[in-house]
Amino acid sequence: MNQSQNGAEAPYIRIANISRQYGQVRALHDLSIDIDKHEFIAILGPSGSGKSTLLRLIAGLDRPTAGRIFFDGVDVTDLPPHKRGIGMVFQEFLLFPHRTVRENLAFPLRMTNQPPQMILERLDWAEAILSLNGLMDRYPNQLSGGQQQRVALGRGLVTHPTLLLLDEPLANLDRELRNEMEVEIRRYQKQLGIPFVYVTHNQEEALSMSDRVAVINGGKLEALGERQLIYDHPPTPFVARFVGKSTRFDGAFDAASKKVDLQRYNYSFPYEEVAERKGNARVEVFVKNERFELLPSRSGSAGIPCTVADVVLRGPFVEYILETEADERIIAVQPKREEPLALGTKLSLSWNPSQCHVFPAGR
Amino acid sequence: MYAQASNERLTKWLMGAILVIAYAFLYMPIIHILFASLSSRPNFPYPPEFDYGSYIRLYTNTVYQDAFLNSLIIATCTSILSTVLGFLATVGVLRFGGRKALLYAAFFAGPLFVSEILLGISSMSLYYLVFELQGNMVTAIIANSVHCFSFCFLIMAALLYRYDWRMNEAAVVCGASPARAFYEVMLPLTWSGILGSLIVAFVLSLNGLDISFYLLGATPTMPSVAWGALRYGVKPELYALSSIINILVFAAITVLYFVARSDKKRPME
Ligand SMILES: Nc1ncnc2c1ncn2[C@@H]1O[C@H](COP(=O)(O)OP(=O)(O)OP(=O)(O)O)[C@@H](O)[C@H]1O
Ligand SMILES: [Mg+2]
Repeated sequence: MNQSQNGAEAPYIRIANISRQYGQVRALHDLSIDIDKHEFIAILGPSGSGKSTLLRLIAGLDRPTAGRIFFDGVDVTDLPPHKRGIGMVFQEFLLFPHRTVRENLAFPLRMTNQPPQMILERLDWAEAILSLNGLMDRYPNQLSGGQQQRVALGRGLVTHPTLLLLDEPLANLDRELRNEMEVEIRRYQKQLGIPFVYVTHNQEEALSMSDRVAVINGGKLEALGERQLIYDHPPTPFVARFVGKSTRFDGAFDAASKKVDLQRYNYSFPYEEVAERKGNARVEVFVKNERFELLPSRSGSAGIPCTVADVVLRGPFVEYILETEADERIIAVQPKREEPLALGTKLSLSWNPSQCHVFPAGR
Repeated sequence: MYAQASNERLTKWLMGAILVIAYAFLYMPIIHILFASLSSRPNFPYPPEFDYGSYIRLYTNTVYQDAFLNSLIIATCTSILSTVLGFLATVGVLRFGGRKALLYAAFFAGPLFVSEILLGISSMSLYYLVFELQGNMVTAIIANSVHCFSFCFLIMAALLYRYDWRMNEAAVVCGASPARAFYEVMLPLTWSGILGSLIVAFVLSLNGLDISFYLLGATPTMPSVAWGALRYGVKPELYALSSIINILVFAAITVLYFVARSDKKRPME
């Protein structure tokens, strides 16, 4: 990622060529991200990819081996965490067990020496916005997981920090609560107008909440962009596999006929632009599970023949587990119709070539 | 069914009796001294015949008073010094020890196994050899701290082992300086261990004879005066003094008990 030096305005948060090495382990490698003032950015990556490390570097809890970090144009790389004016929410909440909810929420305000009047105002504000009424005088161990999570969020937000860092804050909550909190967290971000950096290994969470998504893998930035763009046009095979649920096929690209051929299934589709390579080249094809087209099987139809092996109802969607003739399983997601397809139905599976992603194989 | 109930009762009685015997075994000498100090006939105080004379004589005896004061100073300084050092060692081992933590810990606990007399003699000659320090209160405090340090280390390591260090990180990202994070978050969550260490070091160095003896020479401390008194015939003032010390120690233990209880009421996760 090259940054233009002559850009009129410095980005609100700039992370420039950050690396972090732990002995032999390269937790982060030459990673650069710019974050805007009103932005909700999700850091998405598998376990061990360096997400927490990145967050700890931004917070100042850890020092980069190389690279600099800027807040509002000021180099904060050597600033200790308590002078950075940030908020942080941890996966394990880390509320202070010897303090009540009220004292937990007041803690960052006291530490930054706010006047008492301000502390009272902010406490009222936090109580209202996080619906903590009636919980203010309890101790953390007297709260449910969701309530603790809200207090942890409140503790990160009361000072209206430069930015809020969230490290998998919903990982310890059950699914229903998670969906509820996703909406809430996004609402707070819009209300406060401060950037949120939200670390998660859950791609649904990343997509549902953020403006932009940064995908990291093995300590490197794989992709950074608008969530819709990352979803619809994954720039690398890793992103294609990791963001959204998709199925992968091996194939070959024939440059002469401009076709991708999946020999295994005896299926081919026209494709214009497989970059870089000429002639016959091995390719990987990714198709999002909801972008499969299912047609009744007829002799001579072009798709991959398969049969319905199982049907999973998921609210407004239906998941069809399909079995190909090679005994492989493919999952196709369709909007729910009145009558889902019966088990054993013979189908022909295909997709719109412009809706799938083709990458040269073996990278 | 009836037989079973009476059986249960019998077991209960037996357990109670064993408890009483055990306590008696532990406390009879202490109670005996208390009686002796309060009696007009200290050598055979039964049946008791109360007399506070020994306490009054103690009040006017400057040797005992000096000894008591010296012991108090040594015990106070030692408990603070060894607790501070023990705390630092604990933090170092638990936070930065990594895979070798157990090895470091073993070496910190090592001095426990050195006999006190050896430690006293060796400290005396070493301090004189290297620093030309004559035996005095300072060297006594240092030598006692060497001995107490390992106890302090073990006590605090047992407690801090369960401490979640990320609490400090949570405090620091809230804007607390490391020092404030320590006394606003870490100290309130770990103070029972720190207090326990203070009390144990205090009691150990208050009552320890050997180390102070070799390092102090003529300066009297409680145990050394008591030991000296043995040779010239035990005086009832000594009984009075040991009773006072015992009561102080029990007060300390009582404080520790209530601390432990108040800690349990607010369990930390
Ligand atoms: N203090 C450390 N010492 C040594 N290696 C570390 C340290 N912290 C992290 N690592 C290594 O750095 C890499 C990235 O770790 P990190 O915690 O950032 O991953 P993550 O993306 O947050 O994973 P998860 O989703 O499981 O939390 C891992 O390989 C990890 O083993
Ligand atoms: Mg992590």
